[in-house]
Amino acid sequence: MTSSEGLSEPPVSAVEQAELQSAAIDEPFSGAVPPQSSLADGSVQPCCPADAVADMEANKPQIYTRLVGYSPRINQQLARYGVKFGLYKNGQFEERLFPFDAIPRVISAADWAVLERGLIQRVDALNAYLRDLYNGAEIIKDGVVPEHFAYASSGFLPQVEAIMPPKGIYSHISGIDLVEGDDGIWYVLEDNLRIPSGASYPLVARTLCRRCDAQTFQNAPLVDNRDYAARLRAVMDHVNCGGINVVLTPGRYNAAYFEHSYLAERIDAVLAEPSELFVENEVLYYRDSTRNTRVGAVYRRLSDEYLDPLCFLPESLIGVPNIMSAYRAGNLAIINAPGNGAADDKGIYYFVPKMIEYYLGEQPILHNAPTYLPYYEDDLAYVLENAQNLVIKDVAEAGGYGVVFGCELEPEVLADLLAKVKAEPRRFIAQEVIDFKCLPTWIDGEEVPRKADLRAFVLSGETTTVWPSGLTRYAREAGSSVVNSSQGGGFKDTWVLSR
Amino acid sequence: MGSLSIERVDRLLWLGRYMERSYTTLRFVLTAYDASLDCVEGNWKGQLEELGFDQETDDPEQFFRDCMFSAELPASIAHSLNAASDNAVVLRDVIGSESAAYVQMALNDSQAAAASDTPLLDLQAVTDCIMAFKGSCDDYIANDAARNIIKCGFSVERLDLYTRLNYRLGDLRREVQKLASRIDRTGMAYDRDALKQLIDTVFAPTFPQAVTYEQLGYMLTLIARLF
Repeated sequence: MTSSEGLSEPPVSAVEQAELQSAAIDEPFSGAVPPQSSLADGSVQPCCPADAVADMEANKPQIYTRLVGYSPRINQQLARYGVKFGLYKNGQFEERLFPFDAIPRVISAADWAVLERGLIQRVDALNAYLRDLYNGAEIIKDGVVPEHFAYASSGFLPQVEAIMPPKGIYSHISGIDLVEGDDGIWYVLEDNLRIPSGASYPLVARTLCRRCDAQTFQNAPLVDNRDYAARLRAVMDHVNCGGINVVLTPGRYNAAYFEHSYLAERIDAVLAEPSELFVENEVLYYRDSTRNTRVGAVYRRLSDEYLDPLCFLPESLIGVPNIMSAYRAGNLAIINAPGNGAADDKGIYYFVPKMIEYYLGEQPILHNAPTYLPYYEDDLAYVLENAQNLVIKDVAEAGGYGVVFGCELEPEVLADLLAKVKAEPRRFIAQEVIDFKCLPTWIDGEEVPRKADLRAFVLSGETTTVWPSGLTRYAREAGSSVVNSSQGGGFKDTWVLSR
Repeated sequence: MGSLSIERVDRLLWLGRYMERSYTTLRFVLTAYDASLDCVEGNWKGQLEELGFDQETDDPEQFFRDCMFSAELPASIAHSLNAASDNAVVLRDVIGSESAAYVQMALNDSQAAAASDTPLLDLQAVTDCIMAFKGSCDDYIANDAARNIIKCGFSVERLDLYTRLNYRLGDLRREVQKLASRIDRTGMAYDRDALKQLIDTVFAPTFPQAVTYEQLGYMLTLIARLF
């Protein structure tokens, strides 16, 4: 049974709602943003944001100013609720608090309108691609995505070919990583369509911030972000095949365990470990102490390869044997669908704008970081010519590995790398280095600029919607682009203005 | 959500037991420490050895510090709070974030007390959090079975500790009554005969005035048989 009073707030009063309206109205933790501010000569560009610095210098009051000093007390509250992330260090599991900075990322209504349309467009196209890829692959037959890039992806799972998930939705919860360039343009750095995490942190933080300073939230024209659980629940209910909703966690020692347990509480689902589930006659059941309960939808928080030892990795001890048979029979929705990794790897990223044109007949609204595929001759020539100014990525690598900045390499090392690129052009992509904006951040008692990214959450159920918030992660060190929480990075709330 | 697997039932019971163990052990250690101030030459460890504190040291300060803060000692308060927290964390969807937060705070406060200049004074915050958790069960845990399992955990642990320590035996009747009134609302299988004999023992006219060590040992056997 779930307490309905978790960290939830009482319903917004009519008065407050009126004020708001009259004001016109997801290993996420392992992801580091590449140091995009490196200059061609190898130096690090000073942390930059012209507008943020100007604001600071002018000491101009911002809509969040009253909240700034509350950071330590809000962090105390986060400790109270055990808002932590886990990591393995020297073979030992550790849990750490995820530092919160009360200065939010503020996104204007106009910017958000563009982002929202662009994100919906992108995720709709990615879902269309997955539907197509596993059911006929017309896009490959039409030569839009080369066969090699589609099928060589480590996320492509032949086991799910020709399986249509309930309601045809593959990516129910998409975490799209973006950065705002110094030029004010938002760039998509990465699509996360498997198990993106991180939504719970700003969700908790917003509730606590509202307790600090009512005036800020009464006066600021903010879109309320506290409906994430309701949105998630609606998605699960939409695809549920009959039975209860379950959040499937690999267990206590997962990096994002806090989020698993918190979201289960908030969406009124059962939090289950694999040993508490079993499949009989192609139906998934929760092993209740008094009776077995049918499960209709599983929000799984473990990777594809561990999901079912009878279908994927046989040595997996954290999977549910035969869960894929329940899925294949149409008796179970798995959120997100297995096999989504085929659409979110580095090689496929290049083709997302083409997917948008192919499936939706529209021009892409959001920009990819300018990307080159040495697989194409023109791109190869450009990469060879401009390697010093590019970041070169091995598509077979993940988790920040295989990412090299041309400007940081000795000439002979760069030459060796380019020889590899020529020899195996399909294995690499190259991208322009993006200088992305810093955000004002409260560190050690002063406001300083720090680089930050944004993970936006797109939910696909009856319709595709974007949660009007997101996880903003910032780097601890000046000039650093490492927003990784295990490297001391923290997070901010993301405020979307209603006007 | 009403579904509780066998694993979760077990965790709920042990959450209650570890919270009660933390609370009672803390009271006991503080009492023993206070008594030790007046008898450093005698048996200053008091009954703590019966609680499992068998660490070898001649330094009373270190001994009591370990009883409280050494998480490696299975009998220590830190160990019990860690174990309670481990259970609470995985039961968040059942007990709710607010109740889970009191367990987390008890652990946080215990760690803060360990680093404090006045650890005994600061341990009061741990007691406060444990009591708050106990109270929060009624308000925040909507699942009747889950709430009653935790409370049965409190009772079983208290019965076990009081009996083992021959401590406040007069309270055992009330504790057994509480257990008996809740146990059928947990949905758990239990040894009805053991409960009946436990009731008969504590409600015997001669209990606790004429109780023997053999009877206390027998009671411990009955308590162990309950679940």
